[in-house]
Amino acid sequence: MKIGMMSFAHMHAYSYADSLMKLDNVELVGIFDDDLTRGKEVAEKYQTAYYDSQDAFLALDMDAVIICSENIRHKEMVLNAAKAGKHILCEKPIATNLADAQEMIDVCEDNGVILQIAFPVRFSTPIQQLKELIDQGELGDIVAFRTTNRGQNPGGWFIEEDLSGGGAVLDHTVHMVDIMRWYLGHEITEVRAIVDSYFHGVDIDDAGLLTLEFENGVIASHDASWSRFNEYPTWGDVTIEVVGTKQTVKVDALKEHFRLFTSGQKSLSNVFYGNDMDFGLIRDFVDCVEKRRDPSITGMDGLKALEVALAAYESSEKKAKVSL
Amino acid sequence: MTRRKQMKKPYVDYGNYYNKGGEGYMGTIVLANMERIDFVTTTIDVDVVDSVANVRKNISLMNLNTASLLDFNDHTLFIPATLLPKENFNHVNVYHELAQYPFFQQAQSVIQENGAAKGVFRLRRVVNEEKNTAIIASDLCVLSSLFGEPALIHVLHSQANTHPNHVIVMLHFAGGVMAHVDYTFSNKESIELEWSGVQQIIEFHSDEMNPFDPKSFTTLPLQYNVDSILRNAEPAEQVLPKFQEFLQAVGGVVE
Repeated sequence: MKIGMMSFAHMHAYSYADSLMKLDNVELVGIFDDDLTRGKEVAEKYQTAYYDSQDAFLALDMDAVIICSENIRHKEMVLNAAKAGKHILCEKPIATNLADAQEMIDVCEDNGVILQIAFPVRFSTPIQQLKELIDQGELGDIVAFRTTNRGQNPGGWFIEEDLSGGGAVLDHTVHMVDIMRWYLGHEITEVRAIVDSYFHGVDIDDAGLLTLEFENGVIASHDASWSRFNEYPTWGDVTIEVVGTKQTVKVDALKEHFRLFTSGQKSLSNVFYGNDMDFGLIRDFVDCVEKRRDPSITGMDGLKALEVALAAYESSEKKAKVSL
Repeated sequence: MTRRKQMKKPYVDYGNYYNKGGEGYMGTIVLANMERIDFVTTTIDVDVVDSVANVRKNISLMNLNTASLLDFNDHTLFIPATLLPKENFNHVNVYHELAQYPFFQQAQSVIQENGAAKGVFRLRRVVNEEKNTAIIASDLCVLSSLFGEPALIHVLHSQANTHPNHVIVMLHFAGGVMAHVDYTFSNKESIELEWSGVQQIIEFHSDEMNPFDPKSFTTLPLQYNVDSILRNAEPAEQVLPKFQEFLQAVGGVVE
């Protein structure tokens, strides 16, 4: 299978490219990036061709593309790739507004190409095991969720609103909203949120709390932030606690680590040895394209997660609950 | 039955709480969840009693489920806010359980160390009893004393007909703190506290910080001493207005 990559603006692109390299049946046929220096560097690193022209890149004989541009450019690249007949894995969030997200879904459908959204947390082994426990009825009916996704400030274009569309709340809400929807099979109908900027002296948000209600009465709290600093032992966290009528179970997707103590400013580091969820995502996407099956994470999954994140901003701005 | 808890001399002056006895004698009674009391770090002389009739001139400690507050009319009382009566609170002093835990007191001083704090505060409690919004109201009193008046309180309750009951409270404090406090009323007891401040993170989980393994040998992470109760309790009439405000708020939204 031939796959190309569109933009390395998002740091996940490196992990996805590394994952492609591990798959025997995949060839990375080229990289498009309008940042010439970055594009040439990564093309050399992954020993593939660099393209500074999107048209020339999309004219390549390839099955699929992986898009890791700035959020604001997802739409443009998805539409172009779809019209070129390439299947697509698009980094989250799918877009920066719902109209763009819907258009992306529609164009991919019209052109008969797969649109999968990159929510790698679905491929974390403990997250998957908890899904199995829920499906087997081990927790009973779900009563409530409590989730976190906190990390470091990624800087760069992430903190420029005209390129990212939002800060920590957009960046770190969509993953866990996707997991909650996946676990529950129901949609969020009410969002109440507080969004603010505390940690980095930046105009864009770096902290947010969301309180959510699902259509079936399940309630949830979510903590999304860029509150972790360099000296913290790990990049951040991805956790979910599910309160069920039979039992409550908590999963920390990054818990599989050992503690490394060293002399220096950062004396403690958590060294993660758990499964590589990015590799799981890429392997699933490749399998999806190979079998021409429906994607495990659809464009609509991306849209619904985006909808909640955008509602959080609206709720905080209006100081009121937002109904979806 | 009276059981004397003999301790070393107190390093804090609790003289005001000791009574002389005699006619019209009033005792000092601390009502508490006995499982939460740490006798090792309690430095004052305290009698553990199971009945008002056994109250003597020392400070008496009674399980909070042993009697009605009406039975204590002739005594000076120290009660958790969850027992706060709406009236007739002469000689009643009120303490908030959360504020007595050593982990909380330490965390509070770290948060306050650098003046006005900005950040995200999260408290998660699993409470071994039926749904009790008074516990939530008491905790909110503690948080408001730490972070100031909340500009927003948003409360969500899980569906009434499901067990366990779960309650989420989201607060926004005007000074630059947002908070989530989550409660599950279930069959165990645990507290988790997280503070994400500027270049400062606090993480506490009573299950993880238990010095024993198996953990069932001690409830140490969730114990406090009588000294702390006596030192921090406030007259009921001072506590009641704020407590009632929060009690009302946990039934809905106050903005």
